[in-house]
Amino acid sequence: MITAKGQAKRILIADDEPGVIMILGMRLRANGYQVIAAHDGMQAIELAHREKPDLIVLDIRMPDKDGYAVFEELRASANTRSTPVIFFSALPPEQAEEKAAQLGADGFVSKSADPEEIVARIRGILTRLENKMELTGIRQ
Amino acid sequence: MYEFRLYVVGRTPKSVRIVEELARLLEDVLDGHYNLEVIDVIKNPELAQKDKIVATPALERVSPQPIIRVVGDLSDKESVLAALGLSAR
Repeated sequence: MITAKGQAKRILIADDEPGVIMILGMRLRANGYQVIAAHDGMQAIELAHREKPDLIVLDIRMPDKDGYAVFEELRASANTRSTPVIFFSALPPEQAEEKAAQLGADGFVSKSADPEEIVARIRGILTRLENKMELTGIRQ
Repeated sequence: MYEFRLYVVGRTPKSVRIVEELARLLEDVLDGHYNLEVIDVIKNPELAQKDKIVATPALERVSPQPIIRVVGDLSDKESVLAALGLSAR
């Protein structure tokens, strides 16, 4: 997916499991996204501030700082408050979906889901965001 | 005969432990009546893409049908067996 300025949208994947970063990263790159990888919660927060990704795919179960704690820190900072976050986990979907909604995340996708589903979800969120920004621009 | 496919990343202490523990669990429950194929997604990324795997470790019961997939933590033996439609002996 390409921005209005012709740049590929940048997705930060935060997961302590290297397989997720590798496989999901490959799939996202194949769909035209640029991928940034964080291997734990602390690195996710650091990269979210430094790289300002267009969206974050955030694992829930991570050592030291879990995805929920990372999300709350991101939302507490003006710098990262509006970055869309999708939780991505092997936890039971009904439990994780409810928690994601409670926290105000932009969605939840199960690690058992069809990979196309997560790509479609990311695309949908980014498109919605872009449309919203365009509308805001028109009003200004 | 049961057929399983396990997707792991590389030959790390963690992936070796996962394979060993799973093989032990299947042996206990199925007493040799199974095949376990281990796929290293670093060596076979195309296979992981083709099989629509997006996270590891991932375990599939390929046969009997339907295909059942368990992703993530495989250390809880009871949950893994229940998800695969098997029960401890």
